[in-house]
Amino acid sequence: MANIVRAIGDRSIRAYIDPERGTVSRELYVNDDIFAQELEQIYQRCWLLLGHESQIPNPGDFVVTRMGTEEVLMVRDRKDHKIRAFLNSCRHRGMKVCRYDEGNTLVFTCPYHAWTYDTKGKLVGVGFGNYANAYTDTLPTGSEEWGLVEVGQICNFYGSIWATWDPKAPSFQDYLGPFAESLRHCLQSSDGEDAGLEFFTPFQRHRIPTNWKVPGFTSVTDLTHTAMTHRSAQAAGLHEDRGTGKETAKPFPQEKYAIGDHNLGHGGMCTFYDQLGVPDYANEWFEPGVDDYFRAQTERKKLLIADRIMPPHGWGGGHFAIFPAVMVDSWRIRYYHPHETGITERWSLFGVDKNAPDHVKDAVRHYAERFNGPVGFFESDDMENWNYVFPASQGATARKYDYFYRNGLGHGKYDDRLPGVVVNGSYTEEAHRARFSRWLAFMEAKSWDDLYPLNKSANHNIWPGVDGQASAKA
Amino acid sequence: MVNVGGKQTMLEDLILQHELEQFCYLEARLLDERRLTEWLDLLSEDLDYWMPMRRNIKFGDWDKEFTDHHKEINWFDETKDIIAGRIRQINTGVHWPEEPVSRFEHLITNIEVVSEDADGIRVNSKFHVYQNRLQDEINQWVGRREDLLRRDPDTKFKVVKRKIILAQNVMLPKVVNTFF
Amino acid sequence: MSETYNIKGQDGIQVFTDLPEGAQVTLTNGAVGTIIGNPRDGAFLEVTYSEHPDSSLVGADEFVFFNQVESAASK
Ligand code: FES
Ligand SMILES: [Fe+2]
Repeated sequence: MANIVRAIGDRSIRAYIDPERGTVSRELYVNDDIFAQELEQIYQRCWLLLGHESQIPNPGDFVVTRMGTEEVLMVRDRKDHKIRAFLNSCRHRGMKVCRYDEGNTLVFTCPYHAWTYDTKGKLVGVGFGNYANAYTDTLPTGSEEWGLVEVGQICNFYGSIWATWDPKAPSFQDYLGPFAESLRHCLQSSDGEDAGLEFFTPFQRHRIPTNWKVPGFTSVTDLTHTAMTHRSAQAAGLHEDRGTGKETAKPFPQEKYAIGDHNLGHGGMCTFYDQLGVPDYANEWFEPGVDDYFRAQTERKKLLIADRIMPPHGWGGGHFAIFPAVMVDSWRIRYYHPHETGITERWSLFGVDKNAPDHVKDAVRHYAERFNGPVGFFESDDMENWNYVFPASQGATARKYDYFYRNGLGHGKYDDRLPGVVVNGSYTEEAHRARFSRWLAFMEAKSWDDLYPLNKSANHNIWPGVDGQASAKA
Repeated sequence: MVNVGGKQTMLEDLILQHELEQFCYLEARLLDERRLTEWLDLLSEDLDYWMPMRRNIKFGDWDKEFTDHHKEINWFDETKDIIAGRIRQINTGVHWPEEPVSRFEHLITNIEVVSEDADGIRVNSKFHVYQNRLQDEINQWVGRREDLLRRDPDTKFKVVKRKIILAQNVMLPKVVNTFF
Repeated sequence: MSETYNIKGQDGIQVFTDLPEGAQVTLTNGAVGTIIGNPRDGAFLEVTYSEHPDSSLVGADEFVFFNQVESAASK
């Protein structure tokens, strides 16, 4: 079923991407059948972001999050204090067992027939459980079989919580591949301490009327959109180059690229540092005292990694995406959830050094509130473009004309500093193309056995001409 | 009719109520007529403009409903400077979610004078903001405001504090590009 | 002096929801237990049995549904 889009006739899904031409069919974005297949082939298998441990610090704490179109409860057990995640759907007959956004609880009690589940997901009570003429000899309480549906695997990666439905998926570390160090770095506080961030509550959650891949496969990797889309943000005086009296820091040799891992699907904008240690701190805050804090933190970080080269990311070092649609940089982590073919919901968390003083937390929080999302100076412009892509691509005429993803096609190179990752000019669409290589691999795969990194002989790069190597064209 | 502060005559109360209503309607008209910089004049220099997010909570957990103004992520948490920046941005003519310009209508109702003291006048009101955009895009925001206004010689009043309580959980409109 | 909680009256739902840990409940099957957790969902109480018609359950913890609870009293 996976390889055929029934509504369109009998072309295999591979026919919707033209690697030689550098194009992708609009069907991928507007076709309901493809959308339904993505939910099975991608969202049932991939590691997806759930949230951050700082959202549920205490035993019994929970927060409702999502995996694709479905709600998931992320819970810290009140006895063993471990974090688990469950589908928010009663095993009896499917009601949501939790309709609060977050809280602290002993059990999740279904409001329909009162099946109730503890914070390990176990069914611990049912209404009329003691009535001989109700459940008679069928009482499901306490049985493994009728607990909440638990994710296949869960991983706490330096405080960020990830899960996959598929028990056969590789470990999250292997799923990240060469991006593991970059993600770890993003979750460090500004002095370089691992898992040194906490995240402001709650999630910023909002709808975007478009296909999930419009923002999910382009944002943080789409450098050519910035100048035009965000033309007006400068007027607001809240641009990324914020702050008065910005110092000219000592030059710190570095190279900027667009990168994409065609076997794993991750990629984005990237800085390789050509010198040991950490660049000097350059002022960027209006608020008094904030630059002083970050400068002192940077000095501490310099000592910590004086003898190492930073992983390919850092403040000002670009940001990247984890397949299928998680965006990471050093102050945000966010994910795009498909709802319908043309409806997406984005959930964002904004990080700050756990140990930062209040005035720094305030400044970072204000910046996050004002920059991001439907209210954000910067991102409100993205919303308009992402939105109207959808209706303007959907028509019977429009959907016959492919999208252009050709920038830098054939000019990518492998680089020893990030093995397996294709490195290309910073304004190219290398990272986008890597997403489509991976997208196709998932859409065609029967199981994780067909997919890198379980199947190490798979080369999923479908695009021509990387470093003279053959592509994986069929 | 509330005799605010207990000092005034009923006639003074009526006049105050009338003036506050006129002020609310003026705000709405300036916003809808795209006279944003004139509207900006009605905000005090020490403005605190706040729209919290709202959680789905258990009955009785009232203190958990709104995001903490000073610790959590809010929809708006603004000073006058920040609002001025938003207006400059809209007025560039290249702020895409407001270009072409939208048709906004701010309906303001349920205007209640709560009290007056040395800080100013506390006024509650409700709004229904309708946005019609391009051919068929419609967005709506319904909610209420808890204002602190200060008397002002030039504009009669200035908004000092505004808490905007939106009847919404997930933000459903893709962009919030107006003021409340 | 033990206080009985009126869990059957008009305000019974609220009283049940607020039952404190340590209170004693008597169930319709004659079991007696001490509340060790109240999820405040108006539906369940977590109890440890001190008496139970099935003696193997004495000392066990269980979540009991409100319609199994006959009465409640403070210790
Ligand atoms: S659907 Fe949950 S108890 Fe019946
Ligand atoms: Fe953007």
